[in-house]
Amino acid sequence: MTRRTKLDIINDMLVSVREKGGKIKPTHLMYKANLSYKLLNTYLEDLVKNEMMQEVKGKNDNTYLIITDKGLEFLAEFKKMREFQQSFGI
Amino acid sequence: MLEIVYSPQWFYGIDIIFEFINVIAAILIAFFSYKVYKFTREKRCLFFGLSFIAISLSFISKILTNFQFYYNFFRKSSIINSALITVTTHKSLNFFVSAYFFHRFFMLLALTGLFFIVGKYHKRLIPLFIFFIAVITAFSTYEYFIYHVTTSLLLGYIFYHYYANYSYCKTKNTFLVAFSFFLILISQIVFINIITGIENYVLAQVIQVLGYIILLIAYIRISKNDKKNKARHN
Repeated sequence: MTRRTKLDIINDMLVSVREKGGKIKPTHLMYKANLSYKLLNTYLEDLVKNEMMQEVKGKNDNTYLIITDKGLEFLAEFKKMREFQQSFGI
Repeated sequence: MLEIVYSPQWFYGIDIIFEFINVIAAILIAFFSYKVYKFTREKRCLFFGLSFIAISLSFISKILTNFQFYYNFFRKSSIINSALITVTTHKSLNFFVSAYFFHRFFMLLALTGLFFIVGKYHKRLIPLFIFFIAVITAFSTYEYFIYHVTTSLLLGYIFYHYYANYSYCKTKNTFLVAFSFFLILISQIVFINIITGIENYVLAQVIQVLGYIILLIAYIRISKNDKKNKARHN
C-alpha cells in the first residue's frame, strides 16, 4: 500500500465530514480519517485556515467541525484530478 | 530520393482538418494536465502535459508543411512562369525538410515522454533516449518507414501499459484511453504500409483521428463529471 499524500489526507478528512452529513466531532474525524491526534491537529489547522472547515460549538458546549462550500469545491476538484490521473495512468 | 507528401490528391486539405482535431485534443489534455500539476504539484503531471504539448507542436509542424505544399500545388496549376515555380519549389523544399524534421522530432519526443511517465521507467535512461530520438529523426527524414516503425514500437509499449491500467481499474475512462492509444498504434502500422498503396495514408489518417477523438471524449467525460459534482453540491 502506498503512503497517503497531504492532499489524500485532506481529502479523506473532508470526505469523512461530508459522509457524516457535513458535521462531525473531532474525535470521530480522527478515527474516520485514520489519523493520530497530532496529525489531526496539524491538518485541521490548515483546513480551518484555508476556510475549508469551520469549528462550531454545539449542544453541551461540544466542538463540532463543519465542511464549508470551499471544502466541497476542493472535494469536487480533487475527484476530477484523481480521475484524470487514474484514466491516463499518471 | 526524398518524398514528402504521400496523400492522394482528393484527400489534400482533409488531412489538415484531421490533424487540427488532433491538435485540439492534445492541447486540451496538456492544459488539463497542467491544471492537475498546479493542484497536486506532482511533476509527472507536468511532464505528461509537456508530452502532449510536443504532440500538438508535432501536428502543427505537419499542418504547416501540408498547407504550404497544397498551396504551392494549387498555385503551380495556375502560374505559367516556370522560373517563379522553380524558385518557389526550391524554397519550399527547405521549408518541408525542416518542418518534417520538427514534426517527427516532437512526436518522438512526446511518445518517449509518455513511455517514461506511463511506464514509470528510470529517469537515468532519458539522455540515452533523447540521443536515439535525434538519430532516428535525422535518419527518418530520408527513410520514411523508420519513423513510423519507431513510433509503433513506442506506442506498443504505451498501449501495453494502458491496457494493464485498464485491467487493474476497469472504468469507462481507462478503457477509452487504452482504446484510443490502440487506434493510434494501428494508425502508425498502417502508415508504414503506405509503400504498398497510397490509399493507406487515408486509412491511417482516419484511424489516427478516431484515436484522438476518443481521447477527447475521455477528457470531456472527466471534465463533465466535475460539473455533475458541482451541481450535486449546490
